[in-house]
Amino acid sequence: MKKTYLWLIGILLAGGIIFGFWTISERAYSAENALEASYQRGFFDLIDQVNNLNLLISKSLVTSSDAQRIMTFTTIWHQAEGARTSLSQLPLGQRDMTNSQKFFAQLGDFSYSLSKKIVNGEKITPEEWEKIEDFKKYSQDLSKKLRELQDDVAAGRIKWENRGFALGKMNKLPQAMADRFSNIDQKLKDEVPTITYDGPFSDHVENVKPMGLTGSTITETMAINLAADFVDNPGKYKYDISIAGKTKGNIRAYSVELTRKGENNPEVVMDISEKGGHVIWYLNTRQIGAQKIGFKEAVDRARTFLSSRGYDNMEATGSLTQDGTITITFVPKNKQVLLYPDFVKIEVALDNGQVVGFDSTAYLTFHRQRSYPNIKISKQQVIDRLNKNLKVTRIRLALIHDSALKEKLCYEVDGELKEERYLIYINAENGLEEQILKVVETDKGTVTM
Amino acid sequence: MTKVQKFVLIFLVVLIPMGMFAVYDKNIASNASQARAEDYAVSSWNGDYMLLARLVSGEARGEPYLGQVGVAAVILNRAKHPKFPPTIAGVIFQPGAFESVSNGQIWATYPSRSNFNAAREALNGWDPTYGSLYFWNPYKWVNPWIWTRRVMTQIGRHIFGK
Repeated sequence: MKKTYLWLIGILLAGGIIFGFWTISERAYSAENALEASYQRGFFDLIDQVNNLNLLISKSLVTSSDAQRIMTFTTIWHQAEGARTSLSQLPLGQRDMTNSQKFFAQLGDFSYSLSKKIVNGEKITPEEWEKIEDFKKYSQDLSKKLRELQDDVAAGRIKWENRGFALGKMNKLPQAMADRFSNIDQKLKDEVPTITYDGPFSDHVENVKPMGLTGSTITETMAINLAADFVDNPGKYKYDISIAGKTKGNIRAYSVELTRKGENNPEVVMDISEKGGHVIWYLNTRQIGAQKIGFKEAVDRARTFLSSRGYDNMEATGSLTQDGTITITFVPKNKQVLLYPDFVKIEVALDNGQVVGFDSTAYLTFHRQRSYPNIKISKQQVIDRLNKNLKVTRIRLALIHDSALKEKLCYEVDGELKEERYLIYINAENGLEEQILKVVETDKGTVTM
Repeated sequence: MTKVQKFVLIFLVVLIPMGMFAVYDKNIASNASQARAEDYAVSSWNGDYMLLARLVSGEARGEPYLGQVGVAAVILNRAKHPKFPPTIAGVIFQPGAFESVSNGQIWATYPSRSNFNAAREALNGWDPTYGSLYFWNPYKWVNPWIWTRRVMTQIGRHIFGK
């Protein structure tokens, strides 16, 4: 009797284990297939998009009507953005696939800038047509290579990653898809040249040389002294100040750490430019207590801080309150023109009004003596051109960046339409509408979108 | 006891508590998600704020505060760069891009106060990495390719580069 029981338990146990194992591997297998399916979808989407791009670029070369060109170029932009999304969903792991991403981003961005040009009544230059021809060549090439891969995929010969749950299958798999993809990408890198045009992904945008760095090179000791003088320190704490390293960004800088006497971790971290000893940014990492001061006092504190550090004629243009601090954006004003590109950000702690954050990266990158273009449009002309339903509350001059970091002198029109607030930027030289921002009041501050 | 009685008993003892637990569990889950939605549903970038904080908690655990800001800034730099997907979610969930997403660490713990602060600081525009697109820990195994990047700075145990 006892023996039968033991047998029974043994069989049940073995059965349980086998069942458990089977369930798990079944699950793993279906999960793997689901994942593979989503990768395949991304891949086939990409092939479609590249084919469409090919076709559209060819058509753009043939068409002679502006309306058709605008349609074609915006569709290229759309398809290229789609290709970026598909590409980013493929499991390419640590492989460098950034060249294809950039190729699609620039193709889309470039087409968009062309359609904008046509809308504004400008002509496409011969050089730009040449670039379109170039893009056509690369995308044809790309589409051909992708189709070769597609044949292998359709024949079921390839899986995305060179590993599987099923044993013994491993050696039969050809070179993994991801590696072949990576080869295509590397070729693109060698072939596609840098390209400059009016768009955010143009190659010139990434390598802006700082224009606001004045003065001569400073030493480490000078940096330490500058840090002590600059930081807002209402508690009069004694800090141990040391150089933590150097940074090699567009602005070369000393990284400075300020540690309270007796503490281990630095409380304030700060970058000071080698050239001229400007504080690029600093952050005070202390805990923020309960709110004691209001919005107005915080702005006043920030303004006092700025003018005592040599930033004069600054106008507060926006703020965001979060987690016990308020971040205020200040913009310099020169000859009645607001210089939006040269903004400075100040973070004030609402427990005691101390400035706990400062960022002048944009100021140091763009601020300089500028000569403004001649204003050819009057305020009245701007008002005449606006949507008649817009209730204008203020018009002033402002310098803004377009998406390609080009500076445009504009009238900033602050207006309301059906109780919603907008900022509209009208070019003061030619009356073109450069930008529209919607202003949204949240309980945390004013946000423009 | 008859067979029927036995079945009823099993039903009462086993199934009812299980059902109750299932309902109870569901309630907890939905309450928690409501509380969180209320906490953060304020400005337009809240979804990004949460995701970014999660990634910071997954990737920059034990790093100094500035290093956490740096990790968040790299995500934002990528989203603005032509070589990477155009959204924060796109960047974070790019297959194989971040170890903490691949191994699930990103969902393991709720981000700390300092993770959230770091994410906010980066969303407000602070970038201690000067436009870096990559960060890596030189004390761990890394793809040798990464060393061909231009090194910008080191914060804590992470090197930041472009």
